Amino acid sequence: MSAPAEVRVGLMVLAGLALIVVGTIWMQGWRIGAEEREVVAWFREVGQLQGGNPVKLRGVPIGRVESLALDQRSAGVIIRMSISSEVVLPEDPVVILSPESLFGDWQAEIFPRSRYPFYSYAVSPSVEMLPGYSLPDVSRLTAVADRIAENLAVITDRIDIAFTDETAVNIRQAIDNIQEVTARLTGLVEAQGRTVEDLAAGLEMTTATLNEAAATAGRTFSRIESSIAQGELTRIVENVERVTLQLDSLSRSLGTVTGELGGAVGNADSAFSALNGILTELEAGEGTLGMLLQDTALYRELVTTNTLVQDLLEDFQRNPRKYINLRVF
Amino acid sequence: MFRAMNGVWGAPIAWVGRSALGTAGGFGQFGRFMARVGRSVADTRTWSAVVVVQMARIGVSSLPIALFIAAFTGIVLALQASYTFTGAVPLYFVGVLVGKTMLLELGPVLIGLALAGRVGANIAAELGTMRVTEQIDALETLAYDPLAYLVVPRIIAGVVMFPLVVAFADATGVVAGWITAINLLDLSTPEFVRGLRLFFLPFDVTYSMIKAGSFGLAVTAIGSFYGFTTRGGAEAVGRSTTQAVVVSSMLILVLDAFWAVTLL
Repeated sequence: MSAPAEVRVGLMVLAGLALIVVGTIWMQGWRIGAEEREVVAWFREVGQLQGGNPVKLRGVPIGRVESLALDQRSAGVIIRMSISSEVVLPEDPVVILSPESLFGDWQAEIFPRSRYPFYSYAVSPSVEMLPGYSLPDVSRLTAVADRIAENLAVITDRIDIAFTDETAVNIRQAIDNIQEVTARLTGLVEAQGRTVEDLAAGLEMTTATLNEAAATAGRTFSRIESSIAQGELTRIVENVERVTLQLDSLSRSLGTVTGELGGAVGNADSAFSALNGILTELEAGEGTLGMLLQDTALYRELVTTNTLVQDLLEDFQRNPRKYINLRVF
Repeated sequence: MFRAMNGVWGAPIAWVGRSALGTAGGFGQFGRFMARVGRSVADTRTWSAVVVVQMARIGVSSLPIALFIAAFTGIVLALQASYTFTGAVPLYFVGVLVGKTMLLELGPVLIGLALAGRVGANIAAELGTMRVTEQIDALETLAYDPLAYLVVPRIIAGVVMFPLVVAFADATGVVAGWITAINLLDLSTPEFVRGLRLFFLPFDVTYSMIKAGSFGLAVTAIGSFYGFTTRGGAEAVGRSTTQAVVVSSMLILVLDAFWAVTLL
């Protein structure tokens, strides 16, 4: 046995053991010397979560899942997580398990309950355990999609059975009929709409008129009421009585005047009769005035005289010395 | 009927019978051999004096070839993973594949097969030569337990050193895949490390070590058995060496499946 062999073996053993330990720690993402604290959460189920999966807060890795264990006292799963002791958890924290990607890697994320209040979180039996909720994994979603696909296949088969060429024609006709009915209904509705609009406008106007009449009536009634209250109506009645008496007196005066007017009419009638006699005599050419009216010779003489006077005046104006010879001495 | 069989089918059937009896006899011989080895483990004074030498020969001397194999395995794994995943799976899964494959399968199995050829053949040839040259008989004459002196230290060295060699090989393969991913693929260190850590479990390391230890036991025990039971001359030594390599390689693959069934 040579010393170099022992040294080489010893070095290899130590290096190999150190490599295994440090490599395992590094692969798990542990930080040697970092202070950590334990957080426990309670779930109804945990999907595909495994030990070593990351724990995140607001998307930042803050630790890892240490262990998963069935809760023997109740139908749940207890998850223990190690997180950095420097991390401050949000108020009313909850833990949500979700796929980190589409390839089966899961994560545990810590949120305030107010972020996703609609999830049905598992109520932990102990207050020290955070409530948890596990999102459905891809396999469950696939199962639901498979069920939906089966239902669709059944519906498709039934449609295939029910949907013949004749059915298609009938449906086409039904659609046409529906379109026609719809168009008619649209027209009817529009016409009814216009009628209702007119009616509403008339009603509105009537209402306004009624309101105005009501207001007027109200004012009138209030005035009447006020008048009755203040005695104005009595005074009006008394005034009317006085006016009636005055009218009666006036009527009697008019009767008297009418009687006197009858006498005046008789006098005028006799005056007109006398005037008529004079006019008759004038027409007959009696008396001076009648002769003047009836004899045209006088008229002609007067015209001739007038013409002579005018000639005389013109001559006088042209030859005044012919007629006037004024001498002082 | 037996007459007809003797005529046409006699020879093949007789060969099958002889093979079956030989195999069963071989299992029996190996069982008895391992039982004697187990008893010899108690003779610590004999084997402890030479176990470190065997550890150096089996472990330290095997390290270069193991690291060489692991480095190229890591490179090929990264490139093939990238080729397979392109356009379908995120590239950070290269880290997943390199890490998981090296730890769980290729690290232990490839190194086990490589060491089966190197260590198993060496042990079978050495012990076979000692047997045919009657050195083992001389040890028995000198009241030495040849199993405690020759076989137990080799088996202990194999069981101890194989996991260490595989651990170095695993790390080398991962680092080689990492360097390849950074330099030849469009992958950054954080992406590769993310993939590497994504599905990692401490049990992966335990599983790799258990497999490597079992492979070390198989290779050293089979090599010792064939070398120790060599009968004849130099030709028998060669035959024993070949048988040791073949059987230990087959046993490695059987154990690989056995551990996968029982532990995963």
